[in-house]
Amino acid sequence: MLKIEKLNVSVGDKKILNDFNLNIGKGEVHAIMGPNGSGKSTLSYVLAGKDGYEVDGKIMFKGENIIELPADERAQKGIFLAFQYPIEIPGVFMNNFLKTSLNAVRKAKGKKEVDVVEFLSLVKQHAKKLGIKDEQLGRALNVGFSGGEKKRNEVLQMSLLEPDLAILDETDSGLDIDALKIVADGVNALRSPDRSFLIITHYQRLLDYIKPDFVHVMVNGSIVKTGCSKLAQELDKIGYKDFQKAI
Amino acid sequence: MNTITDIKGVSELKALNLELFHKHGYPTKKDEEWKQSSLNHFLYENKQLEILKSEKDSINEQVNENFKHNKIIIVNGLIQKIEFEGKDKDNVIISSIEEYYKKNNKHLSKLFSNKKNPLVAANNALSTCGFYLEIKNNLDLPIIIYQQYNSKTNQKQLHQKNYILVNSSIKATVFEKFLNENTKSFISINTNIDVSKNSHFKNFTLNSNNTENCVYRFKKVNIEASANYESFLFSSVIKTIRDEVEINLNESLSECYLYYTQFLKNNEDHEIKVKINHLAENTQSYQFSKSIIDGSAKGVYQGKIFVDQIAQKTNGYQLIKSVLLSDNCTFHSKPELEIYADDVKCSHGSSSTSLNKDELFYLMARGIPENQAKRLIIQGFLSEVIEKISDEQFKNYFLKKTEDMLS
Repeated sequence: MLKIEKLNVSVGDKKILNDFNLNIGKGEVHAIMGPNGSGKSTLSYVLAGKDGYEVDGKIMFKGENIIELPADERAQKGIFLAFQYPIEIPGVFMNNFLKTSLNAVRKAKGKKEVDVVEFLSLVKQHAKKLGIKDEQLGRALNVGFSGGEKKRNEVLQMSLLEPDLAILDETDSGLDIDALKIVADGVNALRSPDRSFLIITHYQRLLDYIKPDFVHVMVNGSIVKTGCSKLAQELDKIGYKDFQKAI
Repeated sequence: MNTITDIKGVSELKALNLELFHKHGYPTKKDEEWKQSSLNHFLYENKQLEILKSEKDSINEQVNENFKHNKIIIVNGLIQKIEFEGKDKDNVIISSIEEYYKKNNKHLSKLFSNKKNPLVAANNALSTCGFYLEIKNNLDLPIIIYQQYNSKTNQKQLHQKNYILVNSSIKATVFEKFLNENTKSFISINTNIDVSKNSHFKNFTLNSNNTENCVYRFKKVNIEASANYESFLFSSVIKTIRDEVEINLNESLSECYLYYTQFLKNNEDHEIKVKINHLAENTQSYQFSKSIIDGSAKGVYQGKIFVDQIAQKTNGYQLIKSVLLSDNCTFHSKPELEIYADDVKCSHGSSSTSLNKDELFYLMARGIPENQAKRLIIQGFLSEVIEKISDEQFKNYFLKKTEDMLS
């Protein structure tokens, strides 16, 4: 699904990712854990196609190098980034945004665009599962949403767009226990043999709910250790100090 | 037939204004209030414009709105057609401004009061056309005033003076829709609006498709006790237009709400000037303006809140925002507060930014192509002001206009 080869990313003189390599197979769930400033969020932004970085290397997605593609084309090809800090956009209403996004992705995939009636029934069905009220769908995008509402909204978008690769950037931050469970259930419901996940997190807590196939430790822009889900539990006890010292 | 100049009161008032105009002449960049105005350049270049003699001309019915409304069609400043629905026709008085002068020649001085504005003085002195509208009772439907300048003339000047009187305890909506087919002409429209006690007057204006003419629109609004005035001005595809409004909150509990959106491109320019005078206790004013500027366009907003010594418990608010889409466009914002009372709440804020890249990335990361994402952001930015309009029908009308303008 995703093969990252020798990815180097810098902003000005500051190097953020160093010869970064990662392979994610179809249907696999990978977790990346690491201390603050290790480059985890930058990795998620670069994969989603954010401007402003000097990027070198290969990002192979479903066999195609997408490193030069803009963000919208990557999303249309099936990459979804659930933001750590979802952006508030005043005046852009949820329903309009969701419909525009859904139809842009459907159109790119050669599928028929949905009309208002189909859209509303679809969005309500997904929103209900995530405990999102109808009233929230009539509001401006993320404006005045609580931390939990924003994160649920990210999962709602993910479930509507049905991506092939979902990147979750610290989706657990700012969530209380109940909201974490709802969000995790939403993610788990999307797990399928055709869909892969890359979960970025500081803590093992989220991984109690979403079981990863692989856990990677990222320090200073590179992966320094890879293991199974037990590695996350170990990290929770010992922290990242040993890895940082080793470098 | 009698003309304005036959009426003594009017002729004296006109003479005084002409004297004032001669004394000051056209405004220049040295005048602080006209510093950023492109109007003075146009007027300087076209000092000798011949005055257009208002004549009735053909009506452009294509611009008529298809929802139910009462209609007044003004062509070159003269009333051409009045169509009111049902009993609404009994609830208004409509005449030419000349007729009004004839019937009310003892009470005209307030319509001609002008301290130092040279273009208002020129209008007062030279106007030969315009309308009088009195709203006597509540109306079932909004009034649309189609103001058309269809003589297709080049390099003329036209001065139009209007007076709208809203009687006590009335709720009324007037939408002014402008159409200008002249070229390189100067059109000056000076409108006095009186909102009487306990009335709610909504005044919407569509300012579009005018890139060939120089337009100066001045409104003076007097608001009495417990009355309010709400205005919204939508501007796009316009050049060298100055919209100026002076509001007098004359009595306790009077309020005004002024909303503006504009989208300027190419070499278009638009200037908004607002002066709100809080002249009594417990008065409230609210200004909210949003502009999108692109190309080498220029936008200007000068907004002043004046609070008189006796105007305690004033609440004045002003928020001016603009987004600049290109390197060559400019937006000049000049918020001013002049406060002489000590128990007031006044605030002002102004910001000019480029398009928010994080917002753009967020939308694109959801598969929305760049151009469409930009449109959504711009539409959202402007619609925040439009959402404030308290009339649902016109709110939806202007939201649709914004969507159409961007698509």
